[in-house]
Amino acid sequence: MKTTYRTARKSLALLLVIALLFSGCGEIPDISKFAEASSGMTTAIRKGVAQTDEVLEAASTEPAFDSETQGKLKKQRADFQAALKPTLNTLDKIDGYLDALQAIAQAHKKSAEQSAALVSAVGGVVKAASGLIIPAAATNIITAITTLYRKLELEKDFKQRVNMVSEIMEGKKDATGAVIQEGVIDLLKLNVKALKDINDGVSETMITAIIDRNAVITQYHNQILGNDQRVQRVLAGILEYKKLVTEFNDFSAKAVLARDLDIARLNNKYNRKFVGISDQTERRRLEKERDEKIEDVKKQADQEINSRNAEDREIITSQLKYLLGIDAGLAGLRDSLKKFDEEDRRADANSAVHRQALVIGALEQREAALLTQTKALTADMQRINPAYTEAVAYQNKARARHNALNALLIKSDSALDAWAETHARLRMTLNTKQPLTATRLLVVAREMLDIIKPEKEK
Amino acid sequence: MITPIKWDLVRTDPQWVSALATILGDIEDSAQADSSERQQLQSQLQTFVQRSPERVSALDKIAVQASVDIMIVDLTRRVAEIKARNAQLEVAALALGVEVDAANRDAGRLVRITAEINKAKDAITTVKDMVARLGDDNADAIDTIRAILDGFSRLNEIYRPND
Repeated sequence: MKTTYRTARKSLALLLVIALLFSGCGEIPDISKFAEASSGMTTAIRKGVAQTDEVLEAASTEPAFDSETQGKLKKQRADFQAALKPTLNTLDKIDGYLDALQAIAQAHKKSAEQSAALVSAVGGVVKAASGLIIPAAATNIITAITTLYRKLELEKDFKQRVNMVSEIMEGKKDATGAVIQEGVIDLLKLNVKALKDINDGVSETMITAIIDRNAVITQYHNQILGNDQRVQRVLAGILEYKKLVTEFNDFSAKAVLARDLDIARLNNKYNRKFVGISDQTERRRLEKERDEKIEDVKKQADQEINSRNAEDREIITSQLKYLLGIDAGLAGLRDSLKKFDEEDRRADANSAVHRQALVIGALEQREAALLTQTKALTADMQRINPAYTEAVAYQNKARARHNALNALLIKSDSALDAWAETHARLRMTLNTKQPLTATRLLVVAREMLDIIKPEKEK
Repeated sequence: MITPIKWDLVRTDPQWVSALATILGDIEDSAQADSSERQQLQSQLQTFVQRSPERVSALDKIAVQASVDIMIVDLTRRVAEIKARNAQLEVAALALGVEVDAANRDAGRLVRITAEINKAKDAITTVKDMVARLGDDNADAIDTIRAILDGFSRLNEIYRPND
């Protein structure tokens, strides 16, 4: 009895392997990633169609277009919607195809699991009924299951189906490689290109019309901005001039004080030496030495002061020249200086001081006038700012919509290529029994879904 | 071929007129050009409208209208191209539908078979429980069990190709 039982167990283990082989576990690959990526792709392409329609809708109601253009766009939009129906239908069919393949793969996996469970249950009967003459019946059941799967020809049908769809999707070519029948992928790619062209053409024109409509407000804004910048530049120049003059005066005063301090210290030093010297000759020698040293200090300090002053004067003159060049409002000062310089050659010795006072006075007057002007410009800017901001935001919105849709349509084109590549790999997978990968399509599909994700979710 | 315009050198009114005339001339020459060239011309028109001063706004209106004209012509052309591909797409969608239906039938068949196999497994499990309670010499019961198991060996008959 025991021998019969062992034989039965051995034959059951063998039959279990055979049954699993025939039931095709692993013959039909897992296509869940392909199905997921394909569904992402078709969703995003549908969104691309919908968004192109939205661009047409926005254009057909765009106030920057005249009513005649709006009317033409409305008619084109209706044509567009009708023309895109077969494209949307084809996308539905692609979804249906992947769903059906996925259903077969899943049902197949489930069926294989249930077949294995059935064989295992039969094994359980044999084990429980050791000594009963049941193994022959169990063998018959396993044979029945394998026969069933053979009759079903599922794997063959699956392959045939994938091959047929490859022809539909990729098209037919003759021996020379010439296209006999265009594939769905190529047709969809051409339609995606057409959507991109529509988006580019309509969006660009809409933006041009919006720019034209807002020309007065934007140009006015830009002029105020330009004037304000010019005023700010002159004000900054005046401030710089005043700073240079202050630094110049500060340096001169400090340098003279430093020089006088050095002289005073020398005097003190020699005064201390004079105490207790009764020899008049020696005292005169020391006085002469002191005077010579004081003269040296004075000479050296004055040289340094004069040299620095000359540089500073050059910088100040250059700054004034720059100011007179950038501000027409200082024309009066230019004339006054010309007149002053002509008169100065004949008379005043302290002309530098007077000349500078003349410049500072005129600049301060101009500064006050410019500050009043800048206040007026700021008020004007604030007044037009809401209208300007609204105009710019409207224009930017149209640009952003154009760019986002373009990005989606460019990705759609790549996704269709990746779909064809993955489907071709599925065909090879069925022959080589390797696992199916859909990485590229998954990556592109995710990028597309990210583009169409509502702003708040990003 | 699009004539390049040095926008920074366009300042006087005659220069603005000349710039627009150049673009409009290019547009006339581009009737058969590809979409990328036509879009570049639309961009030129946009730059014109954006840069031109308010005093020549009459020219802006002409530029906008030129862009609108390109838009309508190209839009009509693209929609017509899509329509022209529709017959092929419809045939392809139909063929895809046939394959989808067949695949769905296969999937349905598999689901039904799985259900049957599942039932068989449950029945055999019941038989196993029954066997566990039987003695070795219960010949009648063994015959009954064998008959049940023989019944399962006709499991392959649950598949009929015309289902």
